[in-house]
Amino acid sequence: MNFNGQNTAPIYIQIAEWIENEILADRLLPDGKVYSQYQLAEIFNINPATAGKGLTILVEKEILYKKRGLGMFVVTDAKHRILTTRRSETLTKMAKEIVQESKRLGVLDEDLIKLIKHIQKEG
Amino acid sequence: MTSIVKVSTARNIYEQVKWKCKAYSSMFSTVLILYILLTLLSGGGSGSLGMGRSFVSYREQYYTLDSLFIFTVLTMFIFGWLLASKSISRDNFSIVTTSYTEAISSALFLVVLCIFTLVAAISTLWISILVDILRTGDLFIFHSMEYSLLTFISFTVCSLLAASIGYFIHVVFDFSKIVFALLCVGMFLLIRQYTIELWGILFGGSAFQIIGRSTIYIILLWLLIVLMRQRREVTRT
Amino acid sequence: MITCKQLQKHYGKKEILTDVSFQIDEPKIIGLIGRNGVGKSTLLKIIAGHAKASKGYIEVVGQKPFQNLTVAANVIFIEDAMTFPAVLTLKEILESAKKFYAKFATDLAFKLLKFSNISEKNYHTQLSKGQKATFNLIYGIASRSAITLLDEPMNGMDEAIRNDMYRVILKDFIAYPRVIIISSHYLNEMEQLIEDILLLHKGKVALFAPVEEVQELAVKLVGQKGNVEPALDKYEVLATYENGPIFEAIVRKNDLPLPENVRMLSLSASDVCQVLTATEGGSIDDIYRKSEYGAEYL
Repeated sequence: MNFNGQNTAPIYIQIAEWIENEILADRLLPDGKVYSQYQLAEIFNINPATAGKGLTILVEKEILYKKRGLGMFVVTDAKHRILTTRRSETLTKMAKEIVQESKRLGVLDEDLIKLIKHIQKEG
Repeated sequence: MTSIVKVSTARNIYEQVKWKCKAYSSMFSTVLILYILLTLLSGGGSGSLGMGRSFVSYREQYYTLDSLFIFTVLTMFIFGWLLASKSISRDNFSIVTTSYTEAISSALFLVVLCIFTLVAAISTLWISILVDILRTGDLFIFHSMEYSLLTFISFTVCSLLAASIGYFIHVVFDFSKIVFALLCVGMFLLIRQYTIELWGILFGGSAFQIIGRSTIYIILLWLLIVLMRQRREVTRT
Repeated sequence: MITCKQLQKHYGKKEILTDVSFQIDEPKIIGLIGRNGVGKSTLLKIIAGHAKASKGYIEVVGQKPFQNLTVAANVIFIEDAMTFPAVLTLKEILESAKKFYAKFATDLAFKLLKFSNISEKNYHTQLSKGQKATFNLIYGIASRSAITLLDEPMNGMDEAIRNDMYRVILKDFIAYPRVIIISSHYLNEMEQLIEDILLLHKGKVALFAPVEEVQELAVKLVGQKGNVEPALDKYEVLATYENGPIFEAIVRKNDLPLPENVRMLSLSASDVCQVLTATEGGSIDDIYRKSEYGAEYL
C-alpha cells in the first residue's frame, strides 16, 4: 500500500481501510485478533498514535472490539457490516457522478432511468 | 515511559576528568615529545669543565630542572589557554555537562596534567644523566640532588598556576573583550612600573609561602572562571 | 516533561521568540516546524539548557534547564554543529558515552554504525557531512534520553539513509517511548513518523496539534475561476493560485456543501503548514506575473 503518492486521505483512514480490506479478503477472521497499533506502526512505518486512531474509528464503526489487556478483535459479522456500508457509500457516490454527467450531456431524467433499467435487464 | 536519570555532581566531574584525560591525551604526549627534544638539544644539564690541582682531568656537570621548569610553565600556560578554547568547549558538550562541571573537571584535568609533567620532568632529568654517563663513560660521583619533596610540589603548583592563568585569560577574553583589554593594559602598566616589587609580592619567600600563595591564586582564578562561565550560553557554531 | 509559558528570547535587540507557550507530558514524537530563522533551533537550545530564556517560564523534567545537570543528563541535543574530541575514534566515543548517558545502548549504536557503513575506527572529523549527521543521530537515538532533541538531523544524508534513519527513530521510540522533538525541513517525509506538529511562526506557537488535525484544517478547491471564485465568500481563504485556466484556492475546511463544478482535494500537513506560514507577498507566480509587464522588476 502506498501512503504517499496520490492518496492524500489521512493516514489513519487509510489504515482503517486496509484493515477492512484484510477482513473482506478473509485474512483477518471473525473473532480473530487484529494487529496492535505498534505492529501496524512497524508494518507501515507510521506513528503508533496514528495507527491507534485507525483502530479507534473501526471500534466506533463496530467492526472491531476491545478485549481488556488482550487487544483488538474482529466483530463476528464484521464482513457483513463493511460490505453494507461500502455498498451504500460506493453506490451513492457513483449515482451522483452519473446524475452530474447526464446533466452535463443534457440527458433527460426519464431517459436516464430507462437506461438504468435496460442495463439491469441485460446484466 | 523512560524514567528520569539522577546524576551526582561529583560523579559527573569524576567521569569528565577521566574522559578529558582520554580526549586530550595529545597534551600528555606533546609534553613528552617537548621534553625529549629539549634534552637532546641541550645535551643534558648545564655544566662546566674544570681541571683539578692533581692533574686529573675532571668534568663537573650540573643537572637541573631549571630549564625544564621554564619550559613547563610556558607549555602549561598554552595548554590552559587551549583548553578554554571554543572548539574544545564545544566538544565537551557532546557529553552530559554543565558549564560548572566542565570548568571544575578542566581544573582537575590540569592537575593531573601537571603531576604527569612533573614525573616526566624528573624522568627526563634522570634519563639525561644516564645517557651522559653511558656516552662519556665518566665516573659518576653522585653529589647531591638537592631536590626535596617541597621543590617538586612547588614545581607542580607553579605549572598549575600557569595553566590556570592561561585558562583564565581565555575565559576573560570570551566573557568580554572590553574587560580583556582592560586587564591586559592594567597588567602591562603594573609590570612595567613595579616589576621587582610585584615579583616579590607574588612569588617571594620560602617554598612554603610560594606554594601557599599560588594555591590561593589558583582557587581564586577558578572561582572567577566558574562565575564567568556560568552566565555563558553554549554555542556550537 | 516540558512546560513553556510565555517564553521569550532575544539576542541584543533581535527578537527571536516573542511568546512561546506549550506543554508536553507524554512520550511522543513531535515535529517542530517553521520557516527559516523562526527560532526552532533557539527553542531547542533553551530546552536543552544551552541557552537561557530572556523572559518567561520554562521547566524541563521538573527543573529550570539552564546550566542544570539533571536536565543535561536527561536531554540530548543533536545538531549539525555538534563535535567530538578530535583524537577519539568513533569506537571510543561510543564506549565512553555510557558513562554519561546512563541508558546509552552501546550495542545498538555499534550495529547501526556498521549498518550505515561507517567504520568505527574513523575519527569524527574525517567523516563526510552525511556521515557526521548519521553518526550524530545514532548517538542521539542510542542515548535513549527521556527527551531527545534533533535539530535538522537528516541534513546532508542521502535519501536511502534518511529512510532507514526514520525507521530507526520509529522502532526505537516504540521499544523505548520518550519525548522526541525533530525539527526538519522535510515535513513531507516525516509526516507519517510524527504524532504532533508544533508550528512556530513569527516567534509564537502558531499551532500545536496532531498531524491529522493539521491536515484537516484546510482543503484545496480546484476548478474554473468562474466556478470557484463566487463560492469563496463562504470560506476563510488562506491562499489562491491562478495557473492558466485552473484556479485553486486553499481554504479553511467547513461542512458546507461543495459548489458545483468545483473539486475538493485534501492537503498534506506539510502543505497546510506552508500556507499558514506563507509570507505576505503572495506566491512566486505573482512576482513573475508583475515582472512580465516589466514595471517593477528588471
